[in-house]
Amino acid sequence: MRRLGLPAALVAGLALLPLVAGPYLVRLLAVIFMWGALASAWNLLAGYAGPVDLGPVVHYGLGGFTVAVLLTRAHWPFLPALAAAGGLAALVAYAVGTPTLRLRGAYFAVGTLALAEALREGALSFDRVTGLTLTGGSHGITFPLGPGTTYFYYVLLAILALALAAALWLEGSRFGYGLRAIRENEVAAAASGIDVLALKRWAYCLSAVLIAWVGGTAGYWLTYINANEAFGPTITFQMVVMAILGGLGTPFGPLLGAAVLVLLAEVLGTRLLYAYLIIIGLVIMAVSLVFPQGVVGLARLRLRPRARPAVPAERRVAES
Amino acid sequence: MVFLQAVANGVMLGGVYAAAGVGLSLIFGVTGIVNAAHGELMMLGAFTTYWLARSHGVDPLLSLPVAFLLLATFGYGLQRFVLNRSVGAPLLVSLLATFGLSLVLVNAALRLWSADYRVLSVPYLDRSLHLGEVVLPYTRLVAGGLGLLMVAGLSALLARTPLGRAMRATAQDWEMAQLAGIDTRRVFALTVALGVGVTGAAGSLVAYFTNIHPYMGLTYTLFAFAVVVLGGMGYIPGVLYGGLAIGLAQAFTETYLEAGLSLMVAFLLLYVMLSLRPAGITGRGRVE
Repeated sequence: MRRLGLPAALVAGLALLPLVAGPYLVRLLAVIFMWGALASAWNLLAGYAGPVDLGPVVHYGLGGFTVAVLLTRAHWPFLPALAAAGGLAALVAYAVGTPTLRLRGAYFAVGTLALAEALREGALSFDRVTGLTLTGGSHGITFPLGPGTTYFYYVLLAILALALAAALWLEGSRFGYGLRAIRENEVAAAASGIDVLALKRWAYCLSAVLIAWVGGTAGYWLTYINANEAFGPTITFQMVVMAILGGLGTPFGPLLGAAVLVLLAEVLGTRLLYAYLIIIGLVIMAVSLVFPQGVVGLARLRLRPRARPAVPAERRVAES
Repeated sequence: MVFLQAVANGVMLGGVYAAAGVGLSLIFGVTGIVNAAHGELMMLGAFTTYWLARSHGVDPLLSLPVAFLLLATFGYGLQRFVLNRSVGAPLLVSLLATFGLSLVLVNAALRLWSADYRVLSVPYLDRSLHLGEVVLPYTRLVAGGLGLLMVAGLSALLARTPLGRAMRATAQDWEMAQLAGIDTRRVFALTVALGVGVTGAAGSLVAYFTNIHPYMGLTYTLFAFAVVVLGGMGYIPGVLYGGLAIGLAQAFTETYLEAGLSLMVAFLLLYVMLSLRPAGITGRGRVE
């Protein structure tokens, strides 16, 4: 309970904050919650179990479009629509995860990236090919006008709290130990009786539901969704770099990384979008090459050693 | 007739895709790096050809070696000073590092050249060869043929030259290669230089017949990866099969389905292959 005391107090404090804070701070914090939730959800799979999902926007876009269609077509209220989006994301993740999570390392990473791009293309041409009007093609879908920022502040805070709670649960639970065993050595984990595919698939589904919720909420908040952006790689890049920067496989690292990058984006402003993305790229390169050992916990993420004998990382560092 | 035309289109595309995949396969095979910035390097090659033609009036066919040399130099530096740290490290390290590199390259290109679509025109290649009712545009024909030549050249280099032998030895077991007196650091750098150079030249080929823009890379990264997986990861001649498979898949999707779905079809092929036959069509690729 002591471990949960501080986070719980923090959440309670943040819940009361909109009563006293100005609209700018509330919006900024909501943006941090949004990215913090995305990066934390991504971390549940990549940080704890190992597989690097380069197509998390699959769930993000799916969540966004499900909520959009349910709101505009079926006139559902927002929260049931969000719940439905999470359910759909879990089903899709289960179906997609069954073949893809068997793939190792880079195959899984590029396979999920390809899935995201394929869905982007599919969603863009869906209406034209099928003659239906579902995704709105390149125009996208406009949401009905939603409640104010404070509402989304609370929704995003709730999703973030769930993502952090899930990470904390993984830290101490049998399921979490199983995942980390898989991360350290998949073959050994399987040999000691862990159902590798099943565990990874549950982590993937969990991460997918959380990401889909954020996607649905973000669409409603911004009142607009289109396939090019919702399934686009830019969102993936940011989630990945936030999680890595803050610390893979740590419960609060991704939130920290998200806060740093959101504030950086806030300082640089939209005029410097390209500069911002170049900096993100350089950060990814620097972190993955220069600090593979520690600072950010990248070293805790070990893929299966390659077939050829590899020089242990310690020796490599000593040589260079 | 439509069917034959689709086959012809697929074969011509296949040559280009084989060239687009061969650099990825070579670099992975020798250094173990999975290059997520692959398509962006093709984008740089395409822009090299475009700018040389546009501002210096250089013939696009002549700019092919220029693109090769420029990108090869870039690749050499990249391996020597940046990626060398990732040799022997988990796959993820190089994957993430090159993922970051792709972000840097795309956004630098956007800043420098804007997101505009550019079209290269090669006047003397504007016509088409008519074989019965099948139309073969010279741009695609030349691009496909040159692509195949590049793959053949690279295979010959690997099979017959001392450098090729050093690369093959390093690919098999780089510690043993080192013990046998091969400067593996140099071999790694030369391999990446060669792989990136060929990739840049493949980008030049693509520029003959498609739009050139900073975002073009990602699609080619994914196509190249599909080509390499279908042909067998790290098995160089496999890219011919992989390229042909992806080229035909794309041509048939464009003819009978919808142009926007070609990546989806390639993706399905990739999944079926990885599930059923992870070592590629020929079964000679490396299974990670």
